[in-house]
Amino acid sequence: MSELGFAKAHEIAAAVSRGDLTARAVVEDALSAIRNRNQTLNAFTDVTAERALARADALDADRAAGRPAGPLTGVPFAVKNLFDVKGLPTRAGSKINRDRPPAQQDSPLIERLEAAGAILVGALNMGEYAYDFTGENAHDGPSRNPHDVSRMSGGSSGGSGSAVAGGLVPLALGSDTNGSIRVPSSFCGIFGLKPTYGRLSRARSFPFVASLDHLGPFARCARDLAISYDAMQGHDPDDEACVDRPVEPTLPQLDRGIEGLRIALAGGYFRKGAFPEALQAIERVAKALGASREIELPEAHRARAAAYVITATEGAALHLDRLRQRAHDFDPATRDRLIAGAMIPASLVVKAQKFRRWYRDEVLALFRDVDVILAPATPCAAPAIGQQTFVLDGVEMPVRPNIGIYTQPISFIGLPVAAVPVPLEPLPVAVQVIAAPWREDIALRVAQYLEAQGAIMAPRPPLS
Amino acid sequence: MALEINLPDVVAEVTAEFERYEDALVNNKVDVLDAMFRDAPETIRYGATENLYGYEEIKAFRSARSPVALGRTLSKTVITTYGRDFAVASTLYQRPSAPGRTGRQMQTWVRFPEGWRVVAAHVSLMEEPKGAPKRG
Amino acid sequence: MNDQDVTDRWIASSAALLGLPIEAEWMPAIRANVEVTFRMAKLVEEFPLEDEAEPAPVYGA
Repeated sequence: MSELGFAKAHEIAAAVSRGDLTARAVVEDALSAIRNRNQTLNAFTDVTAERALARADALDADRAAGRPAGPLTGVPFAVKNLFDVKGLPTRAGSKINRDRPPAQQDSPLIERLEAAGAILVGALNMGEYAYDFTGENAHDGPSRNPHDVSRMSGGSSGGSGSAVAGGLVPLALGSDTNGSIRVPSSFCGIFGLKPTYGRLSRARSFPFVASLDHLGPFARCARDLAISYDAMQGHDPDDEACVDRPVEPTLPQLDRGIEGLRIALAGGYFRKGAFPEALQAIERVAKALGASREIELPEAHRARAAAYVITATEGAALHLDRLRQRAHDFDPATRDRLIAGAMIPASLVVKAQKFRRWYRDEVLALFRDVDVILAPATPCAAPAIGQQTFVLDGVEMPVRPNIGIYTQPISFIGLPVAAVPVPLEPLPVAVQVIAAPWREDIALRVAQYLEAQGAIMAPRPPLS
Repeated sequence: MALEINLPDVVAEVTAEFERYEDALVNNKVDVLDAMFRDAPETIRYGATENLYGYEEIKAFRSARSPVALGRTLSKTVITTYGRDFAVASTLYQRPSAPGRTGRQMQTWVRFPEGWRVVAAHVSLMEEPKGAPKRG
Repeated sequence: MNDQDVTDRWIASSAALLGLPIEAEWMPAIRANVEVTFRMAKLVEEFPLEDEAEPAPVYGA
């Protein structure tokens, strides 16, 4: 049943709900795939086999008793290891967090997916404390790109990208502060959704930058993003930053097409430093949408810089005590950046937050005349694991911080983005489909249309 | 006119159609499946989780069907023909993806000028009682 | 005193005031990151905003 690994979540749910597939068979298949391929991919850091099999048996009993099936019934999923999973210490990609007591309760997003019938099978590798774009981790090793295992999965949700692209699970959760959902989506060639800031509850997940953190799903198609996102929506009083908006389902609108939508390509900053594959990806998507109009996001380079400052300083504040007491237990790549972040004067941070409101107002004004803005998710396809530099716009630049140049100015103001994979050879690259706040429905509609046209898809990796 | 049951050549014809249908089903050959049901509003298919009235509903179902977990093995297949233009095909099936359940499929076949067509079909599942001896 | 000395003294003083122990081997990376972050902050600062500009997060009592 190796077909299950690359099946879409909604296909699995349909087969389980009609009785052609037991939830147990699905979970056993996923556990088997993890056993066979996780050694290579290094996507999973914990496998919750007992819990998953028990849940599967319960769902199969429900079905036998004729109880109605949820939209994700029997679908195995996994979560970045910064999500609270009952019984596990929430690792957040670190060594230090392993000493935490086990989580008492699952994160609400896990609870909501399970309420829809999905089954948690484990926790996924990530860049330490989410301060990462590569998926590398000094303690747990790098998660690898299934399309070429010598290459980065991208990060910080590296295990999420690797697990879904590698056919271990059809659905995963990650987080995105400056690009940590969109970058692995791009490098691994899968679909990712970073919803509007404040849409999905961040309760019971380990934070990074309170001003910028988002949580969201990865999948192999737009429909699965819509189904899982709809299941996770809804106010949560346990998260102060979670907005009190009604659930706004995206699935009913998903197949509506793009008629009437005003779509433009982000120019200027969002074309600077793009490698040929990133430009090719954008071109393909633009062509499929019939979009040619260019739009400029003003001062995007300063937006990226402001996000950088806020990230460095809020990250440092979060970890200050850990840096004082256990600096040696950090991944050196995160440690030195966090220490530096602790030394930035507060006046500069306040200025960055003031700039943020200005930039937000300017960009929201653009959305009066446009519904969707397109930009590459990454400047290039996946670099090799451990690669230190690349040539960006004729200048040799460090790889790590520059992977996120196109994602940062967007997450900076919390706009919803669907990252959609363009199956280029030899490696995929994703495009950001960016909508106005609260219009995840539009971003997903465009993704669905592109998929139906054949312009985007999650390519299967070569057999290993 | 005496209705002759199980005329060998008729049984052979319907068996061939039945096997062609089975191949199309497990390989999700939607065009073949569509062609083998009678294109008429009277055609009815009770599926495992849906009741479909008329060819259009059945066709829509086929095109939207998840291609996952279609593999199955048949057992106790019984094809009975009545005269030259009518037959009933019944079979049990097991899916490796759903152990512990037995599927039942029944089809009513009628010969039309254009060939044999399914005019009615029913698919349902039975949970195997735990600990029961395996049968068939 | 060159720029690097200024930065290094800043790092050393900050570390002392914050109670952050720093190993000598970490200095090149910390220095590089401090320099970049100050550069990023300068890029933001160069954009003039009026005194009345409100920071993005607004507190609710």
